Amino acid sequence: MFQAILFHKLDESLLWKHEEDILTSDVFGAFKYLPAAYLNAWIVRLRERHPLLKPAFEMVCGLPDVKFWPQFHAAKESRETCEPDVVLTWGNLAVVIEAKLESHLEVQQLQVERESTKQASMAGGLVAEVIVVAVGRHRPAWWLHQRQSTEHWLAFSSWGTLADVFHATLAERRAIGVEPEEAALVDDILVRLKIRGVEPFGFGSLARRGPPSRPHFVPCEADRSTSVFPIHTSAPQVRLAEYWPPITNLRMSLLDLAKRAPVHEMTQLVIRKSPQCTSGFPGLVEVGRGVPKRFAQVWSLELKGSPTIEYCISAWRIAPDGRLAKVWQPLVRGVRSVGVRRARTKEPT
Amino acid sequence: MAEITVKEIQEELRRGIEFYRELDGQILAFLNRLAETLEDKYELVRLKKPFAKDLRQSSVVQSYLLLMKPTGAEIESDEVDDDAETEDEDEVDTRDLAFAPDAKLPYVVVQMFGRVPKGAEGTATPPFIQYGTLAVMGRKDGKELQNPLRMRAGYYSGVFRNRMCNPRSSPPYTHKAHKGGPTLKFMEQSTAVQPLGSIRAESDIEELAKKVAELVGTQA
Repeated sequence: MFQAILFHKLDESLLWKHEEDILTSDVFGAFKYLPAAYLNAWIVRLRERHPLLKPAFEMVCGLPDVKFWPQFHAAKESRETCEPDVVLTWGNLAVVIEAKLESHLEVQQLQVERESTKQASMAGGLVAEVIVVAVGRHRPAWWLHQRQSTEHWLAFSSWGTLADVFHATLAERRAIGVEPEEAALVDDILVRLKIRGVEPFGFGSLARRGPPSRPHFVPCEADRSTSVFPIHTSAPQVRLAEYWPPITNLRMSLLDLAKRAPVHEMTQLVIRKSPQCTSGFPGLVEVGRGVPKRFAQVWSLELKGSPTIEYCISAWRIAPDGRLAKVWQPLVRGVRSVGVRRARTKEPT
Repeated sequence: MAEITVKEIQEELRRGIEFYRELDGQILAFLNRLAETLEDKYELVRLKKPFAKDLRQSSVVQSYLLLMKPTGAEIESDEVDDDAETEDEDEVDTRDLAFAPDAKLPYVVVQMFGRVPKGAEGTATPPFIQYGTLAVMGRKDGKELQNPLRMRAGYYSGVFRNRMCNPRSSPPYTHKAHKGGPTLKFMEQSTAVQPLGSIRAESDIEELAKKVAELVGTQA
């Protein structure tokens, strides 16, 4: 399952009812196979953030006994059974983990899980202390309201903190030499979390990579575009140096480009004619595509040749990805650009 | 102008989209961790989860905002049953905030471009982190302020989203308290900036949280 999701053989969204459980299994299951340093690092983070739980967390030593989805008799009359996601047990301490991805954490559920685990453990004569760790994307809205009554038994960790822990602990262990299997497993978990939109914090890798501009790209002539482009990165304004086929094939060329480039989020099209004085070519037409709600506004592509604006528009109109209405409006004031709204329209004959 | 092939353009597009998508995620991750630290250590409670503001006429993200509740504020919840509380923080926009007229309105904003606020020029260039507090200066019509002030949370975030983060606006910012309500004037009370590049490790987030708390006047 893990590899099937990692390599996109299995579409996790098809298992939407269970995606939370699958992620829980993958991430917390890894603690069974990794050295105790990873789990300890997570516990240390929890301990730092929850001072009242410090004495209990200090009972953590070595690898715990891990149980996934154990069923207990619910310590609540209205329910028969109670099933926390994971229970980690170290001697007299049980840490109950309730992990949520998109659904909501409810304080009542966490309370029942704590009491049920405590009852079950005490019946077995094992555990004296039970802590619940709620795991989610963000803290629940009730977190601070309920803090007074929950701070002695409830902790919170975001998925992001878990990603941070895996990332930082691996980096530390790499410095002292780590088994390749361990590194591979942690790397896979980080990819697994990334698929669900969870990444370890750090601008480091971005800073090393740098923004995707080429030094020889000429800054975009549209002042507004350059001024709004983040971190002073100009949209790459480039010219297609290849020969564009005759009119009948132009649509296919554009379409081909649209399909092969990762443009599934691009819904805006900007076309403008470049003045000969700036481009050096008469009748040069730029075709730009915008990325809504993203950073890049326009990635301009210049078409070497002399297709008319109307022709480019109609080419995009009949392209399956570009069902564009014939509503034109200037996108950038003072610049000869044409914005086209995305809308359903009749196919031209 | 350099000539490059379609394949190179496609590669550049791919890199560009991946880069900015990751940057987007990292900035929100940073603000989320900052919000957790501010809540845990300084009891500065966020109003809603961090969000991005786009420029109106383009798709470019201009700012990322983390808004905290005004000091001493209560969220009125007469329409919401506490037992059935939902997790959808956007719902907070439809609820009312009640706070004293002299409350501080804390915020942290990552500005991707735009101007550095007056008094902080030279300390950072975009992208930068701007943090501080706004204060209510009074009503635009000159009438006396009510105590407590009642402000719809959606309108409250509008002060930051549409006024403070709007390069064309300058203080005092005016904004309605709620639909049909009085127009209030807001002023920057204390502002500081630092480069986004100064946030490299979690200890930097802790340090920033401390500075924000100092500006707001809360103690660890």
